[in-house]
Amino acid sequence: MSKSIMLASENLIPWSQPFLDEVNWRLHQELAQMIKQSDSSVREHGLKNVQKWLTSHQYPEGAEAELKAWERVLRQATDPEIIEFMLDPSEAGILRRSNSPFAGILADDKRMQILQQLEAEIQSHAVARIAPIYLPCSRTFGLSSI
Amino acid sequence: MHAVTSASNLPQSALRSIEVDIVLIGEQFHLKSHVFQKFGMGSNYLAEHGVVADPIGKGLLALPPDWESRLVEVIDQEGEYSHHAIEIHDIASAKLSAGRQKDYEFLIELIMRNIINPYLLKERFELLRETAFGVAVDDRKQTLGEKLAESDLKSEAAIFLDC
Repeated sequence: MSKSIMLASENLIPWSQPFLDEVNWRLHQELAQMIKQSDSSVREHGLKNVQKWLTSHQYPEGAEAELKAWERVLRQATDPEIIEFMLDPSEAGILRRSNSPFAGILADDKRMQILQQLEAEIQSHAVARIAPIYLPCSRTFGLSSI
Repeated sequence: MHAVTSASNLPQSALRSIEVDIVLIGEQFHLKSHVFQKFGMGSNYLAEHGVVADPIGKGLLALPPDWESRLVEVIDQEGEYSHHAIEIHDIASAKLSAGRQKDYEFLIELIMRNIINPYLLKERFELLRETAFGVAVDDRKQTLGEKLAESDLKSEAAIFLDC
């Protein structure tokens, strides 16, 4: 696996680019689970999308190359190879996922659940960072007032 | 992020994604989840149209002050107003502020191809000093200058190495 440049959720700022990269990685993690459960619809759906897009759009050369890489992998790779390709945490993997053909597979509710889960995690990290500052003080005040 | 230029010789690093970031300003930011749901990664819109939009807040962008006044109006193929895009030297400043390896590579490509003016980039980037991103200004200029020098762009390097 390539070197990860992704940030841990406690270091993410909601709606920043790294936040959206993490959401996208988690969406792909969900799709990877479906592939692991032998759900061939993920591969079929992705291949159908990428072929349709390449036929009906004139993408810039770089974007087209990214989509063709997906097409090649979805045609030829084994399921574990696809999973490794889609979850690569390196900078190349982040770019790859920003050109992902896996659209229209996960329900909107599921996508929103993944998004909201990450927002909640960041919120709980923020609360945890603030809490230790106040707790000892309130304890001290409590004792002295007794 | 999306910028406008009339250049036809854009580097491949600028043309590698089917994704567009949409900056949501003011009250629009409340629509972020809605934009993600309808147009974001994995959406039915992407499946149908082959392009995807990510919503981001303007507070998270290291854009030089008054960038809104420099927005460029984009006209579609029918001659109708389509949207506003961020001026390319403002985008370049945000990239320089981010300071990742790919950002420096991207900026060097833009300078080599005369798509951006290095003097104007420096001037625009200096405006970030008065913002929360100001602490990184000298470091980023120095690094860009060194990388330009390594790329044999000595006179361009000198522009950024004078700090």
